[in-house]
Amino acid sequence: MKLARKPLNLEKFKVPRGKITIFPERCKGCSLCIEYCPNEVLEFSEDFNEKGYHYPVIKPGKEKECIFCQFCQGVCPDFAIFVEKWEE
Amino acid sequence: MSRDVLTGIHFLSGNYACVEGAIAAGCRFYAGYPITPSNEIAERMSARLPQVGGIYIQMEDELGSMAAILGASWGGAKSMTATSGPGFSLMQENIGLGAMTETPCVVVNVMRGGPSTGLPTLVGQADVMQARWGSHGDYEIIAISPSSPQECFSFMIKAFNLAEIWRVPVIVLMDEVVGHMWEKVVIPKKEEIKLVPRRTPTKPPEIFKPYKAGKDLVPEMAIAGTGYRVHVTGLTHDERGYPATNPEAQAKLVKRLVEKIRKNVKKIVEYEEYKMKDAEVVLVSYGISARLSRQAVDWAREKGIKAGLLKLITVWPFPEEEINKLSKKVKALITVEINFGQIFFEVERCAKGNCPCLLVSHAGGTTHDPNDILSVIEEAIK
Amino acid sequence: MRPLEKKQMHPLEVLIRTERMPHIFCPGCGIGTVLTSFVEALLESELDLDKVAVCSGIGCSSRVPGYLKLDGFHTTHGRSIAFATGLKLANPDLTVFIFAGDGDLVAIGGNHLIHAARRNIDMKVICINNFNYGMTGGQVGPTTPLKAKSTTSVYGNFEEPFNLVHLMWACGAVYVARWTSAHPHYIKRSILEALEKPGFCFIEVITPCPTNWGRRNKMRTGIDMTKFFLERTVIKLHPDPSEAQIEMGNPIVCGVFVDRERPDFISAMKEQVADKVKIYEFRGDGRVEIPQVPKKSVLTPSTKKKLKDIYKIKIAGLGGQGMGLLGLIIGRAATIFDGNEALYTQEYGPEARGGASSSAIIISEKKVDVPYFAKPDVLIIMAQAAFRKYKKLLHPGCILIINSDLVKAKDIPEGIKVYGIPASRIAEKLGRSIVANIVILGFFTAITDIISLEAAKEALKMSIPKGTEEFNLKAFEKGYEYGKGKKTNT
Repeated sequence: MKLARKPLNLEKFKVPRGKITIFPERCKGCSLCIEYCPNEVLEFSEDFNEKGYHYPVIKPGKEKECIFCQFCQGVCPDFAIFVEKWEE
Repeated sequence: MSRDVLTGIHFLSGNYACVEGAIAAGCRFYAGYPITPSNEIAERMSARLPQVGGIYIQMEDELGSMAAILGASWGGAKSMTATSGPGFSLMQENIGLGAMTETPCVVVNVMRGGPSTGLPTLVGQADVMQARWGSHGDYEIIAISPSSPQECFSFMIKAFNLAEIWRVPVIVLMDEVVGHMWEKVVIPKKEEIKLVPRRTPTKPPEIFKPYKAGKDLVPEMAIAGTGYRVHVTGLTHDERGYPATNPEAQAKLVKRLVEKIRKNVKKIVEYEEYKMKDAEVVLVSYGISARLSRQAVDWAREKGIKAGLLKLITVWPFPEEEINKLSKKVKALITVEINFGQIFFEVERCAKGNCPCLLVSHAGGTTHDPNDILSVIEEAIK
Repeated sequence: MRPLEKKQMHPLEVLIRTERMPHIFCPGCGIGTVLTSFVEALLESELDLDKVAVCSGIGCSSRVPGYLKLDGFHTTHGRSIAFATGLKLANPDLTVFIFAGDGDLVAIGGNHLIHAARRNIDMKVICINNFNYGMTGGQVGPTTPLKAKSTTSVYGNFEEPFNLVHLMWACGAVYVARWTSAHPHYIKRSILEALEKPGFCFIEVITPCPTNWGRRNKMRTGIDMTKFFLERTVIKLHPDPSEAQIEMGNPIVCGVFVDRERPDFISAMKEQVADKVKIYEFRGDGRVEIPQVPKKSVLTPSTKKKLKDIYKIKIAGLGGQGMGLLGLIIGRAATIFDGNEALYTQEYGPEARGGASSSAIIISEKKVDVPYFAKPDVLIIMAQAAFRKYKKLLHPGCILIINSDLVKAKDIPEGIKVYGIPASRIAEKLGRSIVANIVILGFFTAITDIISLEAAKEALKMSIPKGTEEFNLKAFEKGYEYGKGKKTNT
């Protein structure tokens, strides 16, 4: 999902950062988390889990882009992903 | 005197005595639907339960009534419902759920003439097999049958106790005549009434397994809200209560459910013997028919015939061993019931051909004429 | 960052039976999202989680309790609400949730749904609406949109589906909301709002069933369906339930449709009943203190009346004349006050008034087996129609007592003692013709010697409405005096 507009004073705000944890074996490849991440941080893995599904991994280079919105955690039906606040 | 046990001499109908017995036994939740001839039970319950802080709810149908009393039991209540034939048919699915989840509760069936709508205000005794086999699948239940308002009182206490001991729905097979007849009922002092409390877990939640049983095959019961976080399901389940839909779990669980009653038959079965010591011809009966049978036995004895009566208190489980023993001693076993043969087939099965088994049947609508029973006795003795 | 090993705990796992994971729901199924939102809501609330119970019926949605580390009850198809009613009323301290699907709750469970809403039982129902019967393969259901395909609507569904929010509004639910599984934060918020609302709360969550419904309606994956929901959803602030019907091609209106106040079942019961019974708490588990009653319990009667025989009494009249009450009083007199036994049965016709009504009572010292008899010892007749019907029961040696105002006893066979009393006129003179049966009671007590005078009066006092004792005793005495007079004359 792309942001419609970018606020003019975006630099003035301290955007929180998130630390993502994924449970590959629980994932069923529904792709909701990938689709709805506002910063498009996730993508499908190359390899399969045991059930034959691709699971989400963080896009290389986007490790610091997660803004801790927790939408992936909220929408995942399988308790396969969660986000903690990255404490500096 | 406490409001829940109305100690003293009363003149009550079977239905009213049933209510007093239930409340004396600790019943504080009733969910039912109006159906003749059980309405008086609901009516008195709606008046009495609030007086003891209990709740009466009139559900939208019998299916809901049975589900509600199961739920109430898991909430910690001693719960019951009352119905008759057509409503009893509707309750069967959830009676099965009660048996599968091992939920203690009491279901009163004031039997009337059937099948279908039949005779709403007149007697029948043709729901006996249904009480045993009504729901689908393999399971065992306990059914008891009172013959008088006094027994309606005391058997309700017995029913609630049996339900708690064996964690099974207990069916009280009343009939319209017993339900509507009035007789003296003596209600004892509260201290004299022995109640069996629910068996609560003896292990902490981390190691407690809700469907793991000891030697008596009955697991301890952890109700909702006590911190045990149990999962209860009608699916075949393992000892943790989790669904386990495979042959191994089925073998383990259903075998235990069935053996829970079958292996403990001696502790459950109850009957009353009348003039049985030297009896050559024995009548087997229950409910109102037992009273007519007793009259026939008295008349037979006056004529010099050595007749006796085996009055069943527990109809299910059936006293197989006793009947088998009797069949080897007597000239005939005569079953008296208001139907075309239900307990009769059990008697025949258990007699194993040792003696002739006869049936005094009746289509329903009224009780047997003791003269008819006497004629069969006289035939049998020849 | 590489994905970590399973040893780390998902923050919501504390309420999940992880040993049963992964759950059975298909990829893209919305049930999991509802489950997640529910767990988040519970953890955010301040509830004692030991007192939360979840109930369900049968279906995919109903599998939810099996994965929750809470007291869970997976019951029979359609009956979760009825079960939960019992659970909640037994222990009102529990917070009870229902998880069930559209077919389970609204088709087979429809009756329980509307009544629980009407009664406003305090429970929170989460209806997971995926437009079909998912678990059994995708059959059409009561919420399948018009023209949609399913395994049993292969030409397209032509039955109008329920507008569930409208239905629940009409039935009286106090909180009704609808969201889709694409709005997990709203679902969580609604659950939290429902927790603050005592009464019947209904949260409909439209969820994808890609495997069985979506696939047959051109939306093969969970993502396709979720996008469809997001595109079509319109969130309104105070949406009107009657405009919330779901139709393919129209917007899906979401929001909180109903948020109102109404006393829940137990509060309503307390308001109506508590003062009358002087008890102020009601719960099925019996944890209420029962007051003592300042009544003396009579376990042994003070007197015992000796009986010469077993007496079979038949009482007959028209419905409404109080024949039943007459027999009852005689029975009470004999058992409670005279220390004897009594066996009483009634015969009814279907009419409430005007039809023939009779009762029979057997008084004896020892218990009697058979409740019926062919030949009464005493026949009490209150109306001519009853006389016609029961005349054939008369036999030598029996006593016939009649209300001579209404009964002309003609052609009585030999050997029968007939005693008549103008009971209706006596009753009318006293002020109310309805006590004619009590006049007969007094008459009967005097003529026969079956119940003692004291017992009859005590039994009468306990059988009539409070405040009428004096009047009824007067009627009784009139009959008794008349009877004593007759007895000395014969």
